Amino acid sequence: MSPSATEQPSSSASPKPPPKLYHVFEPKFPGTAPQAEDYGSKYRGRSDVAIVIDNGSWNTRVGWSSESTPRITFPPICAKYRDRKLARTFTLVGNDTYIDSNARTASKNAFDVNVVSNFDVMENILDYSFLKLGIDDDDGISHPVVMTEALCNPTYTRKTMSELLFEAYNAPSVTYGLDSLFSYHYNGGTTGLVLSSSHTTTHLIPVINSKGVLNMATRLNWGGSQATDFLTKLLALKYPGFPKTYQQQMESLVQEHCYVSQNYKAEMSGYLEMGGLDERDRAIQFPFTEVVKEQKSEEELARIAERRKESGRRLQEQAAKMRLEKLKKKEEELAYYQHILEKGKSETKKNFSRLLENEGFRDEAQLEKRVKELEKSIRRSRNKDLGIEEEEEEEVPTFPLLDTPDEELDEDGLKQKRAQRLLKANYEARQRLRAEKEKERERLRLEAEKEEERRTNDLEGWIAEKRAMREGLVAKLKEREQRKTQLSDRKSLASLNRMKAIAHLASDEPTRKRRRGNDEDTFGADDDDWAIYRDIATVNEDEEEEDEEMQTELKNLEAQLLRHDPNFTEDSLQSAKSDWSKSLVHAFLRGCHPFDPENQAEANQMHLNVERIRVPEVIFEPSMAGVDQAGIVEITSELLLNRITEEKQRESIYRDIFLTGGYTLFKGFEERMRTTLTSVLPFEAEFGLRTAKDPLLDAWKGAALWSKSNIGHPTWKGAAITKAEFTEKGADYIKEHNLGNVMG
Amino acid sequence: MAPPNNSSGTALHESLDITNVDKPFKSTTWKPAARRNKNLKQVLTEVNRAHAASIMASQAQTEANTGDNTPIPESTLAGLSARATAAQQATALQKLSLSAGQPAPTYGNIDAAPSLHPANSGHWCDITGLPSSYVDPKTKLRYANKEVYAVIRGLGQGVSDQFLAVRGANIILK
Repeated sequence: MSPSATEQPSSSASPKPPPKLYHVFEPKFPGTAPQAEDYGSKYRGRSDVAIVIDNGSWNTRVGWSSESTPRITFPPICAKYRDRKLARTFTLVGNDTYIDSNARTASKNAFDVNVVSNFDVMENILDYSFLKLGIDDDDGISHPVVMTEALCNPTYTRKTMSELLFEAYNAPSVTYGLDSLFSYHYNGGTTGLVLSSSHTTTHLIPVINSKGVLNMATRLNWGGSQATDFLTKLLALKYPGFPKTYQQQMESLVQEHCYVSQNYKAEMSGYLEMGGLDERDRAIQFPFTEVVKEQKSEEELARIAERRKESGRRLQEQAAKMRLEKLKKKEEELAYYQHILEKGKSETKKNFSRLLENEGFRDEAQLEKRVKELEKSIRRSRNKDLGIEEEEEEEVPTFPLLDTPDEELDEDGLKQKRAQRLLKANYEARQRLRAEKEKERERLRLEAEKEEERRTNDLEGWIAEKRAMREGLVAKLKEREQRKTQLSDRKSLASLNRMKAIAHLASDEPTRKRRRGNDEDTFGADDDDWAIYRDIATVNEDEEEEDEEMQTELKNLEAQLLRHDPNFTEDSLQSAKSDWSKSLVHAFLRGCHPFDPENQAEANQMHLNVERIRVPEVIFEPSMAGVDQAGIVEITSELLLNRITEEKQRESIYRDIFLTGGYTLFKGFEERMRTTLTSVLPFEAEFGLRTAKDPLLDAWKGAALWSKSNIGHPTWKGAAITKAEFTEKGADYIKEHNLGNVMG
Repeated sequence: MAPPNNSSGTALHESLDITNVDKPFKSTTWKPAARRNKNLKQVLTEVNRAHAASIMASQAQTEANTGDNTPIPESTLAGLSARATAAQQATALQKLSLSAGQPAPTYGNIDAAPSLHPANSGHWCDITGLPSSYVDPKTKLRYANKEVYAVIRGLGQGVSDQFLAVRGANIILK
């Protein structure tokens, strides 16, 4: 769907600087994650320090509750594959899977949306985490575990996780909590609305007196991963046939280039306008391997030309030599025949005729003719060698026998006369043709002269005429094009007419006209009647030919106009009509620069423009991406205005609307939330909006903070499931606490 | 990406591999349950099935109860009325709490509802994303201007469906 805009017209303004290129990034292997050495000295036997695991679908973060940041952070993926060459199975976790393509392709994610679904991967992740923490206790991890889980995590998932933690790792106790509530806790919130927009989902949880009100919690099925998928789909449709792209590349594009528009409709309407497009448009260069066209140096080119010339010369020489030899042979032949002719004058007739017979001639005339031919050809080739353009002075052949009456001729003479008559007719025909050609040439010359004269005398009239001709041609071509497209549509008028014509031709029924008494079938009386057969043909070769003719005619006209009409420039050419700089589609596909499909770098570029705001916008209008849910603002206002009924609570919740999660990192997200919420909430409402200090890490930090301050307190007992409780009450037993899920 | 054929690459791989690393903290007797991996859809279907079964069971129970408690004419057994009203009160309270209190939040029921103001959502060009006020009657694609319309006309077969699928408006024949 690329427009036919190719090269920038030379006459247009000064060339813009080339676009700034951005590159796609893929996560690289960051190097071996360090193995903690301090476990023995710092944490062995310290059951008051919990292992905190933020088990998110974007990243797993693991660390000690007594520390301020997680020890390790990695994507929840694991690659388990067998290397045939080494006959060995590798299990690589997290960033280690980026080490090579084998591991990359074998890597699997532990999550389905925001819920753990692949527990084999999960187990490897836990193995890896505990190894990296340096735990080397026998028989279990001997530290309490605090782990985040999805909002309203299904019982089965929690049960399987508990089994894993208690039975495989012999954890003394496990506490499950909600990441967004931990983040809120870390940011010192007590009463407010937590809006957590993360990798796979967006959640809204009201919090009252530090307790999450889960029966008012809402989920919008949109997050960073869906945004990435959305961008992938858009770009695949925008650039069909583009080489394969990877999910991680798309992720990097979303993170780097997308931002939340403050006024989506207004910004979008002007997004592709040429003014300032170079700032809005981002050209993304994808990696490609350049097929190097062999560039020959000047010297090489000269050498090649020299070689070519040399070989040409040699060929010429050879040809000349051959010609010379031929000429010599001919000359010898000529001398010989001339000698015979000479002899004939002195010899007797009988001897001479014998001689002639020996040489293969019928009579003297034939020999003479032969001699003449030889002379002629020798002369011609000599002249050619000497470079003399000899005007072929065709000697007018004589036909002497034609004038003699038949009676005076014998049988032989008659035959010759017949032959001569034929020759004469041929000759005359040739002459006539030549004369005609001459006349035609003369006519053309005269015409050109006349036109030239007209042009010099009345340039304007000439131009007007030519322009009108051109206009007519263009219109005709357009009409044909239209008819062609119409015919492809079964329901169009053109198609209907065609079907009518076919039916009419095929029917034996007399037409209406004939029924009226005009009994004669006059089809064919007018030659144009036959055109109907041409019209009903779908693929018409004649028409295509005509099209081509018209195209060439158009080209000629345009060339003439270009030469003589001062107002007719390259820009007004039919082919330049689709000027790229005025094309919306070009701006959409290729930004504000001309596109050269031959350029491999440009062919491997994608331009992000409207996508930059279109992709993050979906959270405000999910129907854009086919998600049948209300937008984030509508959900928020509906929750605040209708579901929270108590006036006082509502007011206190207004005051602290808290944003967390990776999606809130989009530039302009908080600002947009503020302006749109202001417009939907009652005007007297005093509302506060803030974003977490670190939307990504605060969940882990909050969980660590909570563990640190609660271990040993009654609240800890009320939240942590001990091993004994697990064995006694079953795997799906949970304790409800302020920051955790409730019994489903 | 070059395959790790040199020895250093292999050594690196081996250093990263955790298959055979000693994990003292892990129970030696532990064996994972067979088929413990379930995707979200499977999990949710099971939850729904269990939920439906429990509702059926509770309904059966209440039906049995009503069958037991055939209404007793008040006039005949005045002495029992105090106890009966107490029982009735209890059930009424339970019913009330059930109807007033929302069901416990589960993964399946916390999904946000569709928009109540679908008209507020804009119409955007399916190709360029610009605001659009036209719909191609043939493909049902929205388009911004006649240039984009020309692009739509030139789309290959099935491509228009892919554009519609982006916003979930394609028709899926089953």
